[in-house]
Amino acid sequence: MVERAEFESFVEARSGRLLRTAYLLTRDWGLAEDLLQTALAKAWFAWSRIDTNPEAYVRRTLVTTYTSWWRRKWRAEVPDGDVPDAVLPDAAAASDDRTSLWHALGQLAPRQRAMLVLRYYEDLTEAQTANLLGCSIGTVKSTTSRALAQLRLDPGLTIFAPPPAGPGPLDSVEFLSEKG
Amino acid sequence: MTDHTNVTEHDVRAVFDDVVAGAPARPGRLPEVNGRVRRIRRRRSAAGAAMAVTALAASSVLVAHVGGRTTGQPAAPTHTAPEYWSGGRLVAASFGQDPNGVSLTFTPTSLDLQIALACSTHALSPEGVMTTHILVNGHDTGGGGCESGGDVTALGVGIRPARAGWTDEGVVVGQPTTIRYEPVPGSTMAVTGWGLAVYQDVAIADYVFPTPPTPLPTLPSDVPPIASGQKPIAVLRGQGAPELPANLTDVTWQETHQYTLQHGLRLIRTANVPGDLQVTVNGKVVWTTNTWSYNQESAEQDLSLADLGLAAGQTATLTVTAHRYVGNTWLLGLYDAAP
Repeated sequence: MVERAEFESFVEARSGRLLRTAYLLTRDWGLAEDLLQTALAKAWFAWSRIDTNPEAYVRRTLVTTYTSWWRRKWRAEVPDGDVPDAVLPDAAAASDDRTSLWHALGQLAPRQRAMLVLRYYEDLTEAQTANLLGCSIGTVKSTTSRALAQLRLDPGLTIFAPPPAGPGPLDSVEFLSEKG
Repeated sequence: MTDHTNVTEHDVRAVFDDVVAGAPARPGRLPEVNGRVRRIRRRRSAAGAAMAVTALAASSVLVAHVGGRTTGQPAAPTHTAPEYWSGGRLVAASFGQDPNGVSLTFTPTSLDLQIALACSTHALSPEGVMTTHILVNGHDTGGGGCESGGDVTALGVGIRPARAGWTDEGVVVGQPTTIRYEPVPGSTMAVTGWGLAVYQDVAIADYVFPTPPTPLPTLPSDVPPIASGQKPIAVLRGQGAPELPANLTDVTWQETHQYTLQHGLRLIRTANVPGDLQVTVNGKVVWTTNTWSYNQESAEQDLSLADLGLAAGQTATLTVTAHRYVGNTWLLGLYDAAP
């Protein structure tokens, strides 16, 4: 009964933060809620074996469950339209930039996006991210680097590119011009 | 941010912080989690009972066929696929534990087919992720992951081709078709079990539904999850105590409403008994959705204004017809949202 009470306290206290992580992965509050509840239900069965840091355990389950979801579901989540206004601040120019970047983040592969969420939202170290995803630190570094590089190539993010008349052929400018 | 010459880690952090600032308040999550735990327990109990019965019968029939000749790989001796699943009757099935995958070959007598899948990795391990794909006559038709500790007899994913008829995958009536379910190269986790089955659609009158639980389940009172924080413009639902339908083809509920739409129409259906819903807009059928079990299931349909033949701000007449759902066993959320 003590374990059950601990689990319930954990859900009440921590699931708000975990829901936000789930949203950054799924990009849809409905799917995020579904993903979170799936992860919490899995954790319930393992609760007695979780020695320390249940939040890390649930976060791992959340991410691994997400990356294992059916590919058709992954496709379905790729946004075709604009992000609803409600999820971004109305502050004009910055909002436009961030809306574009949020859209571009949606074009990344699920595992790439998961890496960025863990590194830049959850603030995990490369070693912690590697441990969570069951891969090497080198894989975390290369995947994160490739994900950022892919964002820089997104034609919708021209606002992040330097002025066309600027000196020096930066890689991203060359690629942007190649993509037309 | 416009001063930056490239997207940086800082930009990504800022976007993440911005978008989660709009998180919807969601009280009462715990009862839903507990409900999921109970459903998982029920499924595990049912699967355990089925495996015990099968073992007692000393059955070694692993590849079933209806109307077709099949060959399959050796498989675990205690696994069988249900004869009826998701509106179809079993054509062929194969179960196995070979880490390299599982295959089956069958000769179709119809192209109204769907593939059912299940795979599992190490039990109760949150790291149990495996990326797999399905090859139909060598054509990749999609893929996904495995459940940790998943039950391979609980077929959980049904695949139908993007274009009806499986012709893009080279499926031809009367000619052998081979389906392979295997890990994608580079996957790191070992699969502990594969389940692969093919079902052919049958008419409702010929479909054998599972035995209903007693008492019949009711749906929770809240609305389905709301995508992107949007509230529904309406929630339609069955009312009253759940009942078994008197006739499998009964129309048990029909209502017509008028809505003014600005963006499009997203429909989210939740139901927990077998039945179907049909939605028409201005007399045109825009969605037919089915459920086949007593587990709670949800499905979505996104329709643009063009799909609906509407202009922004135009009023549409929407009719929902429920077949075989009686009482508080289904609900339909309507959202004014572009796909």
